[in-house]
Amino acid sequence: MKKAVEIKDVTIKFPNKIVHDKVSITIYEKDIYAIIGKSGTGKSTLTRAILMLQNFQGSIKVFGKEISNADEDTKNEIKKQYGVMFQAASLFTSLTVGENIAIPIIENTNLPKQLIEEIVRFKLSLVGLEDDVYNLYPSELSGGMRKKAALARALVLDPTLLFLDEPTSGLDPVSAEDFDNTIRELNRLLGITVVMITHDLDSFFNICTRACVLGDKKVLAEGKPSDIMHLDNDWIKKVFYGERGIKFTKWNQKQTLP
Amino acid sequence: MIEIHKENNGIVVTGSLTYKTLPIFIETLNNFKKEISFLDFRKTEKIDTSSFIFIHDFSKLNNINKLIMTEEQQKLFEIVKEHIRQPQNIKDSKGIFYSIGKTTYEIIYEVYLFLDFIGEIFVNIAKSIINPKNIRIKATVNDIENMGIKAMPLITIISFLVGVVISYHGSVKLKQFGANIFIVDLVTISFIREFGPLIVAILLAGRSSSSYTAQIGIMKVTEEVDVIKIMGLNPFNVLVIPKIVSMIISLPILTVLADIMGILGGLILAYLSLDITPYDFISRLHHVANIKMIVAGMIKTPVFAFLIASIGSYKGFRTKKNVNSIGENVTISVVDSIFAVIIVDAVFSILFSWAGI
Repeated sequence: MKKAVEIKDVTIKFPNKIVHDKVSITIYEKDIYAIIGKSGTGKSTLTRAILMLQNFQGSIKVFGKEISNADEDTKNEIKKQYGVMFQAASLFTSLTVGENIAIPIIENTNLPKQLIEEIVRFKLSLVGLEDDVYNLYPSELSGGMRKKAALARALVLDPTLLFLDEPTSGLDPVSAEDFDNTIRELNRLLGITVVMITHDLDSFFNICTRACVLGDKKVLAEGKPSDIMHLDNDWIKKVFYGERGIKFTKWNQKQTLP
Repeated sequence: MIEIHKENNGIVVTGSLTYKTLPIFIETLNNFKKEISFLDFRKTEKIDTSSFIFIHDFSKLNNINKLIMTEEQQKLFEIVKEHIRQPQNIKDSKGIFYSIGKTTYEIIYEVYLFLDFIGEIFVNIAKSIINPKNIRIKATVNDIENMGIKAMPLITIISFLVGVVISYHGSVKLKQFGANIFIVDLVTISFIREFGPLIVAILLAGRSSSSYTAQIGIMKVTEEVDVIKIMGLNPFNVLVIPKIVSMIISLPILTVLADIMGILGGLILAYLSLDITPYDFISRLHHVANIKMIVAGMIKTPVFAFLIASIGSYKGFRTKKNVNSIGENVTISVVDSIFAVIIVDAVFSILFSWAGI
């Protein structure tokens, strides 16, 4: 399997503390890769390093290209393959949803207007939004709708690498499941590699193919979700065998058993 | 990256068909659109959804029923077909009368809202006077530090320079008449009555009013104002009253500073270019400056202070939840408060001339 992202011995420091100490993980192509861990363990910081928004020491290779010493052109070329959805959705509040989603196409191509609008409306439908949000402003949408619009914007150029920061938090369970299904479909059909930070056990078990657990400045574990579940670590045990975890697993078994 | 061949009466695409190569594909297809009856994508490595949308539209428009694809491509195409929606060109132009009417209504409504806001400020000040516990001393003092004390260097320098410049221009003319000593009258009267209060008010309108609008505006965007309301606190008491009180305290004091610095500038220039000794200058100053004049200058300052703080806060509360709106309202708050200060100053001048002060 080809490697999409290879992180090797990456150290990230903030002025008053070390966030990551020689962290190494590998994300293969067509993975749906989850990064999990307690709050404050630097999940977002690590993704920001891959997105070239955060300085780091060590080596990060994206599609075989080293980004720590890449020049601007190479970086821009890589960035065009990224689709990113930030935790707070981060839509441009002064533009309508349609304009927000159209920006990447308008900036990178010279397609006819009619087609651009059609592409935008298609993406809206793909992420499960009604057609009439096209002309609304982000402040007129609910939190969940904003997340979906942000996903549509991240998807608009069919990225090869999709980053999602807590995509299902703040969504109702039905929307969250739809969201998971959408991501899985995209991954299957378009071959998009997905990297997601998540706390949602549902998505963790249902759609993720590989995952890593961050904690204590290091990677505690990396592998399939089922392997990670049985790991000997206090926090992981609490996640899967704590009160919420047990409820979840029991409920899940009921669902699968006839 | 993309190669498009015409074979018999169809088109075979090799390479990758993505948003980068799509414009070329569109152009080629439009050239051949009358001659082709099928499109063959089996050799195409990659087709993105944007291209599928175009293919869908193109084949429908030109009645091309034969699209030869691999199974994978077919699946993706099905998804695209399922989600495709036609663009709607709704253009709502409602004519010039609509926009004139709308703008007029908005201006009147804005005035109404501002008066409403002022009313609420007075009600809350009255409540605070009855129940002094509501006055937030810490926030007020903090604001005096930020908006009053930290503005001192700027006001010192600017009023000193204005004092120097005014007396320089005056001195050239006064020398011709040999009326050198009247430089004191010129600087003192202009500073105490007009320039001192105006310089301070305009500087603070730019400095504090913008900061108030931005602060309250962002608090509104991040829903902090709602949090204050939910906690059972009154946003007026927490955010507006301290600002108004601090402005009403600092603006008069800064005006005194500006008066002193302006007259000092005049004194130094008079000494250097008109040979008036500081002793002569100050003894003349005692003749010129009287209590009436000082009152006429100072009585305006609390009104300016009230206008600056209330316009700044009001515009903050009028901010909508988007980035543009913050920028817009900050600009408007600075422009409006400077405008209001100058208008009120003119009104005071008229009133004083009626009263014969």
